[in-house]
Amino acid sequence: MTIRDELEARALFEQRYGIAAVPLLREIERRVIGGDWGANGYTAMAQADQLATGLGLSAADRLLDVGTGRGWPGLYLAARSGCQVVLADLPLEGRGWPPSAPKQKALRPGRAWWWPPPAGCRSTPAASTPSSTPTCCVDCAPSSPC
Amino acid sequence: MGFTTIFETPGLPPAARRRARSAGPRAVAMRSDHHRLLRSAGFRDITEVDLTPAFRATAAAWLAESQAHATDLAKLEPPGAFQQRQADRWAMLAAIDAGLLRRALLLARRG
Repeated sequence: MTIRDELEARALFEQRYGIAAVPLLREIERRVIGGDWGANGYTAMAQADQLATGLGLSAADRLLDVGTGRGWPGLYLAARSGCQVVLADLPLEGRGWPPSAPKQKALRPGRAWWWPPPAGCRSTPAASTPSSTPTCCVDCAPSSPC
Repeated sequence: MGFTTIFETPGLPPAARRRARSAGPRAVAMRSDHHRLLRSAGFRDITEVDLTPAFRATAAAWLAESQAHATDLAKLEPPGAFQQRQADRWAMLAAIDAGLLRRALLLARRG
């Protein structure tokens, strides 16, 4: 990509992911895709289920969600199947849209990871971290082990 | 591997391709096709599931649900950004209805 392409892409992502996670947007998302996992695209719950079935995901698997956006559908697939998930390429602005509390509870602790870790993440990866590459667990508390 | 993707309907004439690229999401244009790219990367057992009807329904739902709350949503973004997003959604929906854009789920296995 050229620098101009990069700047355009960055501006697009800032606009697309920079909107605050207000209840109205979560309600609209529920009406459009059938859930409130932070989706802003065209993958509805039924298609995420198709993807899970097609991949044959189970708790024994580790899923890499490339271009994760706000974590949809990777977080949902981890909650649904119990698999580990690494959420790659999180836009900086996407971290401002954390999964709602019920969704956080649906995830098994220590099974979902951001990569690369967002700025400000001070969690200490535990031995169960999927790789030696620095990651940050989705359910971590600052300054505490994932 | 599994992914969903929006792409130009194959075989469009040049003018229609330009309209598809203009109305579709960023980087919708391709010089090849997904099957060929997956095969060249060593994937096999490629399955494609057409999601275009669901894509059309979801695009229409984003447009309608957002329009129903236009005043409140416009306040969350810089001036004009919400209106531009809705205009983009209208254009994409029209392109889907014109048969210019499609969406699919692709599944493939490595090895």
